[in-house]
Amino acid sequence: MIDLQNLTRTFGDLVAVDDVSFRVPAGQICGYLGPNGAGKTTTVKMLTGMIRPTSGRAIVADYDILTDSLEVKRRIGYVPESGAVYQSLTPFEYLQFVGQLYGMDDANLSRRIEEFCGFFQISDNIHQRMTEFSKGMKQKVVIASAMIHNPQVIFLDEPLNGLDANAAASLKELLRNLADDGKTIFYCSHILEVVESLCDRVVILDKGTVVADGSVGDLKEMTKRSSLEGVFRKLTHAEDLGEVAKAFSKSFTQGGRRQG
Amino acid sequence: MMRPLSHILGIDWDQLKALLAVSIRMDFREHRRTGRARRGMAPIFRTMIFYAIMGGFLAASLVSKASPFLFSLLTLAYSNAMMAFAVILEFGNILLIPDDIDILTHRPIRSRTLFFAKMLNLLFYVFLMSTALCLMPSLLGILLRGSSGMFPLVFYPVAIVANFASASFVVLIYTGLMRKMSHERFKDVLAYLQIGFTFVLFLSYQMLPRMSEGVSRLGADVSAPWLYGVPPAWFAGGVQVLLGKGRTLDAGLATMAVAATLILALLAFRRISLQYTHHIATLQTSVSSVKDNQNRKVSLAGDDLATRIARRILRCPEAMIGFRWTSQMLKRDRSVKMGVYPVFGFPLAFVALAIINGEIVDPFMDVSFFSDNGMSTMVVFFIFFMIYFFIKGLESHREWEAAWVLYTAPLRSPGRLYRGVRLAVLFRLMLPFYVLLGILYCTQIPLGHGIKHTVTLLLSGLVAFSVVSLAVKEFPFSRKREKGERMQRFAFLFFVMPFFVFTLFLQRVAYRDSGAWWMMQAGIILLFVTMESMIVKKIDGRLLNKESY
Repeated sequence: MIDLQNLTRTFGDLVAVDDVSFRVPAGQICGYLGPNGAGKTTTVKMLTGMIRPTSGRAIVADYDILTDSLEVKRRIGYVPESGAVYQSLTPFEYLQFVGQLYGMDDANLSRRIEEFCGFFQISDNIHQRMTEFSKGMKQKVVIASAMIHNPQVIFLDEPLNGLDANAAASLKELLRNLADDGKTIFYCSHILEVVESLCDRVVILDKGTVVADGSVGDLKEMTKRSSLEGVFRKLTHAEDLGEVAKAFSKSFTQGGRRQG
Repeated sequence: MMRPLSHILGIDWDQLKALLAVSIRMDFREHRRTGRARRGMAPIFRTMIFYAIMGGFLAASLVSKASPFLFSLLTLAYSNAMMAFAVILEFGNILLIPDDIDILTHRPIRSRTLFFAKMLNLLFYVFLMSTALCLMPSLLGILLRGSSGMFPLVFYPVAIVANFASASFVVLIYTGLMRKMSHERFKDVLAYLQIGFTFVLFLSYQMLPRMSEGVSRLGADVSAPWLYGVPPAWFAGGVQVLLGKGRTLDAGLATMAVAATLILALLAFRRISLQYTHHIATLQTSVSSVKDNQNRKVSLAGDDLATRIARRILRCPEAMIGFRWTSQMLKRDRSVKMGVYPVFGFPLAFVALAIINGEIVDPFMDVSFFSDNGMSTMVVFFIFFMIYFFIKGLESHREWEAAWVLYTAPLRSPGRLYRGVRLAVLFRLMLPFYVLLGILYCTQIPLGHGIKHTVTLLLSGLVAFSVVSLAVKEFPFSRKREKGERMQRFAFLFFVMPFFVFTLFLQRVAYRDSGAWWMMQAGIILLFVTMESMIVKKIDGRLLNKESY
């Protein structure tokens, strides 16, 4: 369960997240959308205990992020957008290291590593250093490292980055099943089709404030749009994108002809 | 035993072990990652060899003249300074790895556990470096007057503790700065601290002989109260006390050493460690970096005079790309500009001091060896130094992964890019410096001689540029910097410096008459042009034939 209560974060004069409140119950996949710089990653960093809110509070997995951040961290998994891993390690070494940080015993850890590597089809590369890995392969290791300790709440920031179609489909299925088993999934993405098909509920953030909160169906009805993309464009004041792109394309190609 | 102790200290023993093991494992793998392992040892081991030579050089220069206390004081002072700067230059990266933010700060690791894992990792390298630097002084200390076989057994561990304290003091400053400023500003401050290191390293050339003379004058007994204000003296006092030869002063100094070490440990334990995770997580998102980005504007219009001249000279697009790119790096990139600009302070200070002391001589009138106190040598060396750091900075720039642009762009000759880089360095860095140098010379010696001498130094500087460019294996933006590499660069410069006395020979031969001077200029230009052609071919060959990047 995730419960945000008037959560705010400022950086000097810049208000990155402004008085955000909503609640995500256990068993729900919540899509968290917003244009670049809307404050999504800052929200996630606060909820994962990485940075402190300027004001407000949040409860994650029944613990307060301000007073019990270590307990929160024990119960969450986080897939960062950067996809950072220690590349000079092998997937086995990296996942073993992460498991040790969560105090997992060796037998259980080894079994889980094998299971995850099997699921993501990287068993053949398990003892190969990640310097040679493609972005997608590294992303599989990042996702495994976020889930290996069986967290109650999982935060994912663009988790499909670099994944091939089959791996992406596998991950979506996995997330659906984990939610059905009672885990809370907080899913940040710009890929609206995935959010539309996967998430039970969508929260849209614009300039640090929540501009919409509801199921995809509710939001479509509210904005009188037929797709989540239409909803997103309307709520983030970007409905004239087609015209802008057309004008830009015209000037761009004509400029190119003059040059060439 | 360690587990209950760490529990009392609020440190998770299992996490500490896991973090430390992974850090050290990664550090020793970093070198292999760049694919250069097969061609030699890791930079950290090469740096250790340089340090061992420096330590031996220092100890040998003192051993016949100093008392055990003075010997300990001077060698500890030098090693403490070297360790502090090593932490500033290289091993600060251990405390602040950008990937740690996304990999570790959301894990259930207590701030204190993470901090101590990082600190132990840092002290492991300090231990290696200290051993390299202090082993020879420890052994040669046996030869001191009034010394015994016990000296190495006492001096070596005290030196290690003193260097740990020195490194910890830098960490204290580091973390203090981390709390107050953005990551970018933080890097600025580190760059300024690097300037200090440069001065220490090169001043040591001047310092060692003078120190040696001073030691002879001081004799065996050093007992001034000012020693209480000198941290290495505290540990030197500790050496005396442990050797059983302590005076009242030594006991007082040793007490200071113990107190300082305890205070540093307490500060690390109480003040720093509890906030560490929070500081590294907020560094990247602090307000200054947000404001910096907001204030940065993109402009392609409005070329300055240098760019307009460069466009006329270079004519080909690749070279202009190199020129613009370098100009922007010198203007905006802190790591490049802070690595380069401060170097100019040293030769200018050298010249200014020579003017103040009335030591500027006309090299055309007095062609005796070392008549200008090595000033010409210094100028050419510092140009070499600046260019070496600039080119090396480009080779292993922090944004080295952006090199893909060079491999995917339809460049007919990547070597021409280098021509643009060179012209930008000439226009933006070298010419302003030489104009100023020329003005200074012309105020001190006849105008014609001042101009001719400045021209010689400029052409020599261009040859130095070519020598550096030819020696660099990968250029530009080609690989990740390895741990220990910066220290290795400084050590390399320390050792090549004596070779620059060749300028004195050139002056002696070519400044005798006008014909010889013109011949010399023609020779330098010919050498420069030949080398430039070789460099362009070398870069073209490497980039166009490279299989992967």
